[in-house]
Amino acid sequence: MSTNEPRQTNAEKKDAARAAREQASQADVQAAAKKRRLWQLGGILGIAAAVIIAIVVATGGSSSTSSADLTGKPNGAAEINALFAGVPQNGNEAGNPNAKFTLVEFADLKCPVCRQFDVGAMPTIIKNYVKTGKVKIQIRLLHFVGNQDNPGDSEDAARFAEGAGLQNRMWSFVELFYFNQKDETTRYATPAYLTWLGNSIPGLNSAKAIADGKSKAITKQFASYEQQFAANGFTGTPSFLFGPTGSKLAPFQPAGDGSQPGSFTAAFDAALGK
Amino acid sequence: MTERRLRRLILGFAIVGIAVAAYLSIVHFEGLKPLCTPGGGCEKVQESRWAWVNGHKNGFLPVAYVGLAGYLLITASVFIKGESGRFVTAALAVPGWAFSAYLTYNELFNVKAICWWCMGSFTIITLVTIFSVWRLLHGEDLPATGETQPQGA
Repeated sequence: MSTNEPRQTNAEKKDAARAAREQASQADVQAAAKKRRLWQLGGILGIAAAVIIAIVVATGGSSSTSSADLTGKPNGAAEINALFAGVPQNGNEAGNPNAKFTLVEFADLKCPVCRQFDVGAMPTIIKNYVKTGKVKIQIRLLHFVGNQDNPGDSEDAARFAEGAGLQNRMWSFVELFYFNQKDETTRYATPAYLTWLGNSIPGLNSAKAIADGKSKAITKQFASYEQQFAANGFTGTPSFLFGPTGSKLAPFQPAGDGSQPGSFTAAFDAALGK
Repeated sequence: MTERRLRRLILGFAIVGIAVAAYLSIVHFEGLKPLCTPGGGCEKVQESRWAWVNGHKNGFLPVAYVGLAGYLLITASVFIKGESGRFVTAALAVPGWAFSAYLTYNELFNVKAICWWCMGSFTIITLVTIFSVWRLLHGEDLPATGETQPQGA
């Protein structure tokens, strides 16, 4: 240490101490400002999180099906398997191939009105007319419901159904799907969901149904159904054709809203000459 | 980067955002088909339930209107000076970005279509948010204008 350093006067010492205090004070002010800004940003992020949570709740959130929904057996699995026990199925057809009459349903698996028919009226039709060999039923699937919200969702379900048809279990799957149908504006017909349904149908290989459903032949089949739907002047689903097997089937308008067996049975009984 | 330049950047992007949101609002209000690249992704997105704030078709508020209101408010907030202004701009931009990110996720993974107008708006709000947050955190330390300080005083 040099002894030649000039000594500070009292005034200089005071000035240095004041400068140090001011510097420390300024640093405190800056630190407080920084802390305040971070709190502000935290508040803003909190507002953003609250906005998003509110919107997600209001919109019902993302529409994919959670794995929690796929536990246990699907609704109506036992009843549907019992309903189709002893009923021959061939592709999109169920019932006695030589039945006197044929009922054709044009439907979309995600269509809620179709569900009303397939859950409300179809089980009775199957029990009283299909199982007894009087009427055979065919389903021709379209896939337009919910396409603006979830493109491909309805089609995936329809392709699975057609794949199940190649294993002669299409009607079992169709009915099971309707018994478990969800909000048409949500996306839920995922491979996992379809597999979960398919696994409840004895003898149905779900993985094969998914793979087979992707074929170009099924794409052509869908195009053909759409042409038939338009050619018959139909504009919504479900729509029906009914008539003697082997003849040209005519559009059939069920009585009422089509959700009750009586909407069909009176016409069936009249045709069968009861 | 000066505080003034940062404000001008935010203002510029917000005005572009107003233009995009105004176009989408007009398209929605008039029931027109948006100009789009081939494939019709814009129309698909515009007609989906995600084009409505409450996620239902013909719901109570189209998201395009919300976007327009958001960009207008951000534009107005840029003219508020000082710390309050910086806070208000960021407080509008960050939730706006979060909402836009949520809609973009639904566009890509639920509607499975790309609307370039919506992607453009998401890009704009992302830039506005980055600059607004930067301004909130560092705006006080930035020089107000581009005038240089005398050196070696």
